[in-house]
Amino acid sequence: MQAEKKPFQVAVAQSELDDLKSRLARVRWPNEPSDNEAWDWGTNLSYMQRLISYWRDEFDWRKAEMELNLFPQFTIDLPTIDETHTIHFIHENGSGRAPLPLILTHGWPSTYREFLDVVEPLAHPERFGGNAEDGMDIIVPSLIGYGFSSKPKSPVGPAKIAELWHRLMHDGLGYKRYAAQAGDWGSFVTSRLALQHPESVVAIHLTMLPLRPNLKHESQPPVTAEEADWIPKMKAWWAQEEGYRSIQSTKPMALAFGLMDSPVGLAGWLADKYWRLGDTRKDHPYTGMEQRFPMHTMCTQLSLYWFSGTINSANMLYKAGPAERSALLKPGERVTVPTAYSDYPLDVLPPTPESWGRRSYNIVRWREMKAGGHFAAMEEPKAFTDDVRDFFREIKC
Amino acid sequence: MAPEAFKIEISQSTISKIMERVRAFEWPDAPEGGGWAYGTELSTMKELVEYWLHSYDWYREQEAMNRLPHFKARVRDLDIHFIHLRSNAPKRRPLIITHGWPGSFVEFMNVMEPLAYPEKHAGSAKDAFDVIIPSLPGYGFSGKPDKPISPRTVAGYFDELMTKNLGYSNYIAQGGDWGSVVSGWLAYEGKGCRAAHLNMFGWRSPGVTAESAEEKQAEKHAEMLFNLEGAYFRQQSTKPLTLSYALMDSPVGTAAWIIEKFKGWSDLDNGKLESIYTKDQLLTNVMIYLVTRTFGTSTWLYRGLFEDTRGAPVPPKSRIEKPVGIARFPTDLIPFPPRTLVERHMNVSRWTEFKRGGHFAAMERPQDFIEDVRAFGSDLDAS
Repeated sequence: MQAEKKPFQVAVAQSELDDLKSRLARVRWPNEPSDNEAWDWGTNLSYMQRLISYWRDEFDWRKAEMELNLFPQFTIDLPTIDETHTIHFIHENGSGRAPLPLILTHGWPSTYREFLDVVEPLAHPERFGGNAEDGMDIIVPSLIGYGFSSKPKSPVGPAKIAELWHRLMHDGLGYKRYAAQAGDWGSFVTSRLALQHPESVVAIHLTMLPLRPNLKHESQPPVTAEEADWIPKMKAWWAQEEGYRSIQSTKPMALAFGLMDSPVGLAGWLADKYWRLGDTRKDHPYTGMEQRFPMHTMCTQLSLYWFSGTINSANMLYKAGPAERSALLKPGERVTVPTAYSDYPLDVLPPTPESWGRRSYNIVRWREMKAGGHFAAMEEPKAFTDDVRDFFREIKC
Repeated sequence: MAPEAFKIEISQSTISKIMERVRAFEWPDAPEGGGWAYGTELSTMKELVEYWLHSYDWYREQEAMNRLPHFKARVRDLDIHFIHLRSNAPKRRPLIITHGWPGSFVEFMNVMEPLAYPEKHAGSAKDAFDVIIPSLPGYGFSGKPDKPISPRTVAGYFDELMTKNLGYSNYIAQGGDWGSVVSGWLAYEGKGCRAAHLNMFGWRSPGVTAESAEEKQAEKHAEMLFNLEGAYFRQQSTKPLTLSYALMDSPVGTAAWIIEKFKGWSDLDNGKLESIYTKDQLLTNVMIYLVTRTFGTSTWLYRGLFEDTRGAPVPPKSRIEKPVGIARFPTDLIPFPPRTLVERHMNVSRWTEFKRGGHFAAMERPQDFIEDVRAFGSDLDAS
């Protein structure tokens, strides 16, 4: 049976908006340690108070809804042996004679909103001073358990999501050959997609390189000096930052009750990551943060999690991912599909050595970006668009 | 300054606001058939919340707590709350019992009177202790520090409470969880402390390493347990505030976060919480965090831990030389390794291994706990 896409519009009931407001109004704030200007102890209280008051009193969800609904959205039902997943996605047909289909996948703690500012420029370059022939068909799905995609009965990992993405692109939308772009969890899914379907995936563009080689295997060249320097840096970074990952990968349900009950709690949990991983300057508790992630954008992201009730199912990806063991390559396994990597300088993870990337990927282009952090398409939409468009133009030629 | 008598008096509006939120709670999805494998079990929480809404009575619990003599004393810059039971014996034998996270003085409700008044509880009058049960700074009815402080600093407050405010010069420090670290510090450098009785392996000095195969095996086991159970610690010791927004705002969220620890760290029959705990016990312990709004500050100790000694709870190669009694309960989060290894960390003068029991020993095995503390007191008197 051929799966068919059904049109979808974001429409949140007024009662949901009212309920959110009343929850935001009755917040109980925590005490903050006296020296938390740099968010050293966790999400800064003065930022949180500004954010929550904006979310409660100024944020216009109907405007956000309209912005989301400017793009054609759909759902598609994909049955598997375990259950039927419903995938939500934007599908914007590109300009030009032969637009290359491109699927962009977000990560955690993000949503499909991450790519909203780049959909039109990538689909219709001519509207932004570019060439219509560079237009691409843009597909932006919500990960399983995120936003308006369905919540799985039990957690689903990146390799399984990659299969669903292939079915969406190949069977659902009829694309025999397509490209993919992602960072964060999206990069796990996209890497798996390239590994599992090299016959269909033309090329991939990543802002994170999640696949790991099995260093013990004889096919692996010895660890370089740069890599030897980088590996402990990554470990040290994670030791400071792994709290959220550790909880979400071991006991997500211990956290779920609080995050599902408290929009303020949800905001505190997520805002911390935007601060740390984005180019937020970090010299003031909120100025750089609000410049980088305007209140309206932040509240749209938070509202998408809140209204869809998906923070728990989203966190579960940290349980499913490691359980699937799909990031560690088997001996001899490698992504053969042409891969571009773009390193955004202010993504705070220590920068990946190129040699490390080459162990697991067929890297055909390695680029250092000038500005931006972990949420590249939100932070630097123009640079992101140009970079992605350039790469896929080269591939098409 | 002299301590002042204190009563727990929580306003009806505070309780109503908490209960309104409990009532309005909407259940999250849980993976099908997940049980406790993903964290707090949905059905357990549903049952607990049902009881919380329809059968639990804060004021009944408050009255029971207020039958005990509570005090507050100014120590340095903070008010320290404590229960103080003076024995009927002519000889003063002070015992300070320190709770941990996510516990409170509620853990000791069933052991404090038998320890202070053994003559009324199937014991002998000579075993009587003056029992002092403080709330840690940032917990329960004690004051909240401005920023995270370390267990060593907490021990400083408690030593001052005992020696200056209460005038005890020769006390025994008892504790599990954070209480075991604080009590270790009291025994290590507290001016008035004569000995410690510990039911968790909290005092672990870096540089003292496992040697025998048995010791190494125990260390490996502890590491494995910590990998399974340690996520709360990783969060609370790095970004405590990031977690606090949710848990300060959501009573059911706080309950779920705390109850999961009682499930994970206790020795239960068939994994059933009610085989050991009543719902009243579990909820009153949670309510202490809620009515005092201390969930956030309670997690600060995990960061405070790293403030003094740079990443280690205790200084390198430092041994407690005062006598230490060890009560080893098998199902603890951080069970004691073989005695040989513990002895390199502290001067073990008594070692008791129990067949059952876990992290919350005074709640789980009150009689074993009482008898072991009494026996340790007698040992000390005889020496």
